[in-house]
Amino acid sequence: MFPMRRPWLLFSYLCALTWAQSAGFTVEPAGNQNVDLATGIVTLPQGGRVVDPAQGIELTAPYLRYKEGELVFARQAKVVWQDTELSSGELNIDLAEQKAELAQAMAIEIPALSEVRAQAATVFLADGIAVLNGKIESDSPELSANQAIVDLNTQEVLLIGAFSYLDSSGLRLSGNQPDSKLYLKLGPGQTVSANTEVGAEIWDRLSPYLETAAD
Amino acid sequence: MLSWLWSLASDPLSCHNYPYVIEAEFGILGGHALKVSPEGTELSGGICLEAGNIQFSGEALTYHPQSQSVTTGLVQGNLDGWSFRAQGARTVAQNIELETVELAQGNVKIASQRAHYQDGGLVAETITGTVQNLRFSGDRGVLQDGVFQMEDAIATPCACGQQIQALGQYAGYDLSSGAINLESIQIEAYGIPLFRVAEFTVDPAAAPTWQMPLAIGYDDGLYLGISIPSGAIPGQSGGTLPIEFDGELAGFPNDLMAEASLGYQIIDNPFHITPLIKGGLSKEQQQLALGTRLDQTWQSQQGNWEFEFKPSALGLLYPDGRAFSHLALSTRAKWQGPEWDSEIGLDLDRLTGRARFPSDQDTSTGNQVFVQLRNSPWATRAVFRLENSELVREELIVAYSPSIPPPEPEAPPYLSLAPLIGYDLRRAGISRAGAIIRYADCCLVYRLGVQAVFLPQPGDRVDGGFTLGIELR
Repeated sequence: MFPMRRPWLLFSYLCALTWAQSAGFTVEPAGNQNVDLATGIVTLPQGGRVVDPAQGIELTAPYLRYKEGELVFARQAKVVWQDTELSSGELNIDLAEQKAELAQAMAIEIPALSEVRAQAATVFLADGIAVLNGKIESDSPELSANQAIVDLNTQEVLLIGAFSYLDSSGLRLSGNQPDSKLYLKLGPGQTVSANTEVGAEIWDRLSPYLETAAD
Repeated sequence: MLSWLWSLASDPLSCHNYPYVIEAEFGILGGHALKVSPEGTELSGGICLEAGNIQFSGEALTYHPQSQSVTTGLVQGNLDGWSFRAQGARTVAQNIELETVELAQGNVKIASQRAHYQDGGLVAETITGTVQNLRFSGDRGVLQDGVFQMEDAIATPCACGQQIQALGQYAGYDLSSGAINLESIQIEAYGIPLFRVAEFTVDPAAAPTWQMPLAIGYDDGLYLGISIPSGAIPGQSGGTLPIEFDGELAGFPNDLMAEASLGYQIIDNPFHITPLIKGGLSKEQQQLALGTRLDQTWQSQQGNWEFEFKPSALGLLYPDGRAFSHLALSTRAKWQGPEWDSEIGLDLDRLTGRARFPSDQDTSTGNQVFVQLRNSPWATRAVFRLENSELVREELIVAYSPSIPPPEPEAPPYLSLAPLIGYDLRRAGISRAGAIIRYADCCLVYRLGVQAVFLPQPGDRVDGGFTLGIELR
């Protein structure tokens, strides 16, 4: 097996300097880089760091795979992006669509929400919108829901379906209908406002992401 | 667990069933829409609040984070089987303050300016209330475990005013038994204490009626009568005593006569057996008799018809061995329509021995049949006498008697005149003429009846006279 591996290694060093930079991000591998010449997919079995200074994205993972202009796949990924921190068991970034799929115990942290955990999430990188799905939970503020849309730029959260939310005055608010909704406008560590009546402008702006995320 | 969930789901008022729910320290709030802003948290579109055993619903509520309190507008709810309405509610820590509250349970209605929910009970201030026709008021009352208790309560049967009132140190309404228990009662008329009762239980199912047990009149002399039917005397440990009392004091130009009877009902089922003792006193003689009255009433209602059959027997034994008996049978058939009602009656009467008490003679009217037709306020009565199985025309009476309207607090006193005229059909002449003048204030009806008898009929002992009476309006 060993003789087969040497040309891969050499080739991957070249890739790191050429492809990664041309794709707008730099890759700092923690170990080997394997390039599949047939598909053009680069695998970092020991992981590494991917940095996109232009967008302020920094991705660290113990296992990485990417293809220039198309995809980034990572296991146990940690992403720092502007004010947002993301972690996920599996991360799939579609570079063409600027869409990240997070699965297996994902977590998201924004200034207003200390740590939101969910089964899965879709992050629209261009718009800064995250759609969270399944067993959503957060510690501060304490909340739980089945589905949520988070606007990472404006710190707005829209909970959809049955939810529970402990607001800054110590009240536990909950909705128990499949079509229950709670729109939260959050400030650092406190509720700025919350409403079960979602304004048409807000709904029209956020709800299309539900369908796109489901695609 | 399952039954608990079921009870939650089957209770339409439970706050858990509302689409949006807030769990606060003092209880659960539910609503159809929820809004949080720095000013407060607002539930709207129909809301619910549940804390301990109190629960109410309304249109909207607001939680104020600074004071950690909830305020509402008009609410209606339940507490231990009582329903209530309040103009507003406000929570203070674990307590709830209610503004202008109306509580209701069965016949009982209570209004309070302010009430305070605390530790599962409701403390109400400045209370007024009604149970059937009874009004009551007090400074403070407590609703706890379904029992409403008042201290220093005032109860009156008057729709307004307090001509007659009962002052109770304690009054309680028990939800489970539906009874009103009164303790340390003082009965007053026009502010004058009449008598005291240690304990008394009122059955609110029976509408209170009251007639002054005192009768004042004049026929062949001035008389004063007292009549207390059995069941009207309150007992010491609640309930009533089966004692009846009839007394009469009559003053004649040259004599003074007193007569009284005291009976104790030993069977009441509804066959009545009432042993009694009767005494009479006048200038010339004193007499005493022991006796028993037996009576029973059968009643039957068939559509618009009502039938009544009432036999009675009175036996009296005097110390000298003589006896007197009075057998009577009263039969009535009544027909009641929306405008007209009519009644046909047959009275059979038989006296044996000599009645030594005037009151026993008065009860005999002879054997008669009457037919009565009424279309309020007019009434006509034709009386016939049964003589040797033949019906003999006797008297025709026409009366005009307007009914007294129910009392209203702001209405002026009501005055009515009810004239009556009788015509003797046998002797062809006016038999009697009279009138009843009624003066009614908000509470009582004062009655003055005058009658002149020109052609006396059986049962007419004198040529006329007057009666005075007072009864509850």
